Amino acid sequence: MKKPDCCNVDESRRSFLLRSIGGLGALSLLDLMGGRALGAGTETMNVGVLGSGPLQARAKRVICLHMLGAISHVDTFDYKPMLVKMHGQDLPESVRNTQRLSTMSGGQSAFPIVGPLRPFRQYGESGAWVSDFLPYTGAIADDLCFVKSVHTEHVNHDPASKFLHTGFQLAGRPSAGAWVSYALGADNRDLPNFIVMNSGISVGVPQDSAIWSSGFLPSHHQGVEFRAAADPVLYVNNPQGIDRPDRRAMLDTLGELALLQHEQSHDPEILSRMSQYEMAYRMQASVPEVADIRDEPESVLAMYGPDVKKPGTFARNCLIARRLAERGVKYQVLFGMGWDHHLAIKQALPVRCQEIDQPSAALVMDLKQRGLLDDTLVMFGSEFGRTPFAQGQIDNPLVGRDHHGGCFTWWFAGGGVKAGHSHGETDDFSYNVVKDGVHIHDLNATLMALLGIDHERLTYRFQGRDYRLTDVHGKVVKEIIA
Amino acid sequence: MSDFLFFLGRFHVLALHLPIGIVIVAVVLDFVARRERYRALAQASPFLWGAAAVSAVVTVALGYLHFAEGGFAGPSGNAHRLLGTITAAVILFGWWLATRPAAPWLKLVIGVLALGLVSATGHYGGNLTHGSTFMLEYAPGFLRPLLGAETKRPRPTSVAAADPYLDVVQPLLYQRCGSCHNGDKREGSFSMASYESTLAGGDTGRAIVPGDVERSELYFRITRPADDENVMPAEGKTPPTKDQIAILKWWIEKGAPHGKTIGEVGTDAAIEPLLAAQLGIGGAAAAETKPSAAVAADQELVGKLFAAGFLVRQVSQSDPRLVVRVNSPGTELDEGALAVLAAAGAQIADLNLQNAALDDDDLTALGDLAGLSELRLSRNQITDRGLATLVRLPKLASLNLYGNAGVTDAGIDALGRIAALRQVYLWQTGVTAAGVAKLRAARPDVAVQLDAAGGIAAVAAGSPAKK
Repeated sequence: MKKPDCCNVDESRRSFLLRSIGGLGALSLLDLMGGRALGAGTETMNVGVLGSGPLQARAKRVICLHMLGAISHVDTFDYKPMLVKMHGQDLPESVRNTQRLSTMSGGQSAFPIVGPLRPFRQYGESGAWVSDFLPYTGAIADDLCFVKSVHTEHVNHDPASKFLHTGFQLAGRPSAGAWVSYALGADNRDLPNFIVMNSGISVGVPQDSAIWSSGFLPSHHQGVEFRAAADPVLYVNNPQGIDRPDRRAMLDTLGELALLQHEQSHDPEILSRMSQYEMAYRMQASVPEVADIRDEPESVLAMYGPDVKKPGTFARNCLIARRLAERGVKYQVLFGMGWDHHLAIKQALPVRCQEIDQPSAALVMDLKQRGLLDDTLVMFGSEFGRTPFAQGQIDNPLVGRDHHGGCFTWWFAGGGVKAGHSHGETDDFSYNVVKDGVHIHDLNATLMALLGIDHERLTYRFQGRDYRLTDVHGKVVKEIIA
Repeated sequence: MSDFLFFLGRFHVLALHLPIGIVIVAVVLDFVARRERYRALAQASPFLWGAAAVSAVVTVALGYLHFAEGGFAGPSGNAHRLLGTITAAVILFGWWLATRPAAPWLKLVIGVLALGLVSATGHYGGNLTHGSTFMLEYAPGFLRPLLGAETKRPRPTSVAAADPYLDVVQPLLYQRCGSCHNGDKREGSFSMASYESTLAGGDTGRAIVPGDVERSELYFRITRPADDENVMPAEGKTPPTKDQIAILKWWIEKGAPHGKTIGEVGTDAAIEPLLAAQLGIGGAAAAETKPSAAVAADQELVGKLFAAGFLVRQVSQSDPRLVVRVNSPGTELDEGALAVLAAAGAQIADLNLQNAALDDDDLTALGDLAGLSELRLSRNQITDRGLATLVRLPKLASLNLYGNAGVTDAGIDALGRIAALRQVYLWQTGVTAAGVAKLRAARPDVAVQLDAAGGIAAVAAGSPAKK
């Protein structure tokens, strides 16, 4: 049996003391590197349990762009001339077979194919096919790696989103970002390791903090949610009458009390709580700095498009994501909202695509010109795809597409992934994977490998068993690694 | 015969210990009771012989049921059955004698005969369950010829000199399969006692088809999932390890070689360490699945770097070189911090000093970082003059100078002299298109990155980059 890389032990009193005084100069050497491999079981603020992964990291950080609600892969990346040819005809029974449908289209008597809503064209040296919905993404196709054969078991948003991010369909498991924070620690002292940004509020598609939860890992690894507003973290400023030295003094006294409590109960969550107080104190300075984009030149803002001037938009969040990546934040998830097009896909998809196309392309290229794309993995996709057939009547102008987990597309950029590459194939109807399927567990295993982590060995013992992000599954997709 | 009888039959191996123990006590008791002082014990003799006889008869009956399962029909099995039956008969006779005033010498003879038969029966029974060489395996060298065992093969000193069958495969199979498939106990009519019988297989076909893993029954059986009814070894026995299975696969694919050396057969990088581990050559480390052993970085240096305000991690657990970066944004490095960096020598592989108000003089601190392969100096106040320091870095492959307006075309020569350079970032510097062209001409092996907004600007202007 493989030995886990780490184990969860309560931190020593000493390491907490060292951390709470904030004086890094006082840190002992073992505490500094942390990690079982280096002889210590402790975890300090800046160093994860592994210190470094067992493998050399290709990516030092991840930015995941999640189109919540499920972007239609048949209308964007997975070009199938057959769907154009057979528009209006029923999806052959042999293709659909006995696969599970959602309850929303399961009762339909016919499954008429809806061809791609816009033409596709080929881009760049790689000749990648991209829909005219996404001309900016097309323009950077030679920097992207398309994986067209991603698949999942889930047909509903809530379990599928949790499965994507935590490797399990129910709430309670740690999100990939929490695992990464737990394993590798931070590259910045003043910002959270794991940040989540929403562009607006999800309407109709369930979304909750369990997607970016730390689960059973120490809670300071959970994703910190930035609001879709000019002031991304509420109440970050001191109230009237309290200044920064007052705040410091309060935290120091609170820390002493917490330490007394910890000596009695040895509850590691006390230390987590204190580290969060300390992080919040540092964020009082770091968050306003990162959210203030006045130092960005006009030429850079122009790359992200006009929406970038509006706080809380996907474009603004992409710019903030780049600023956070520059500052070393390990893991970010940006949600794009409004992709659940059961109804009126013809009307909604152009609007949604326009919102995200230029900013996501700009994020990749802005990272590239700064030399950050080499070690930042950008990934773009959804919890599942959408059906090539109509939900509802095909002649209804408000026709839609239902959920489809059998195959969908993710693209990756940077972080040690091949550029100008396409992996996996689907059938002529973009309904089934026919070659090189990439299950969500495989996707997460690959993500971990790019960060230098062996997904089979990063485990955490909880309720009597060892848990990992990929459960007992997951194969690293070596074919997409450069 | 029904499964239930087979089920009962397996209790033979449990029951057999009773008559053995009881008959030993009975014989010892008879002997001791000859003395005046222990005469009273003689009264227990009929009872003990009776208990021995009853348990012996039960054991023999169970033994016949167990034998009926098959797989015990070798020489040891037949001898065990015959001797066991005779033993039970002799013990029954002993019981009859014990109940009447017979001559003491006759009782003694029968007692000694019973003990001898029990030993002989036990010997053949042991051969069935453990194999006939069980007791010899760890026997000292001088005893082996006396006991009729082959002399131990000397342990090979290198993988290449070893015999793939005699030194690797046979001991491996003996270890994992030998307790049931030996010369005496041929479960499924399959014995691994010799090379020939190992290849021949048993009831279900040829165990090894040289060169053809797919058709080799043995390989098929050991690679079934644990819950498969065909899986071997049978439940409760330790299966071969992943590495041992890989060795068997290699051996079969190579044509099941025998009587040659591994050097003659030929190996590859994947199998060589497994063979070495199986042979016990070069330590057990090779058998570990870990890619390579963890190596810790210089802890004192790491501590100093942390204390100076840097964030530090190792390249990986097995690579002790360091990845060092400044906390961002706005860390201004003082003399002390730069001195700590300079002292790191070749131990830093990847250094990020972005946005740290560095000027050309500060760069001199980096001149001795001989191990540096990635250096990020973006958004500082570096000029062409400072680049001279970087020419001294022998391993510098990736250099990020974006945002240093003082780096101009005049610095191109210096960049061209950085021997290991493969990638340079020059966005928002003073370098012009002419300078880039010059660098590309001098160093076609260096990728130059300027701004990357062109494609996006083209789409915005309405002319998407089409093929």
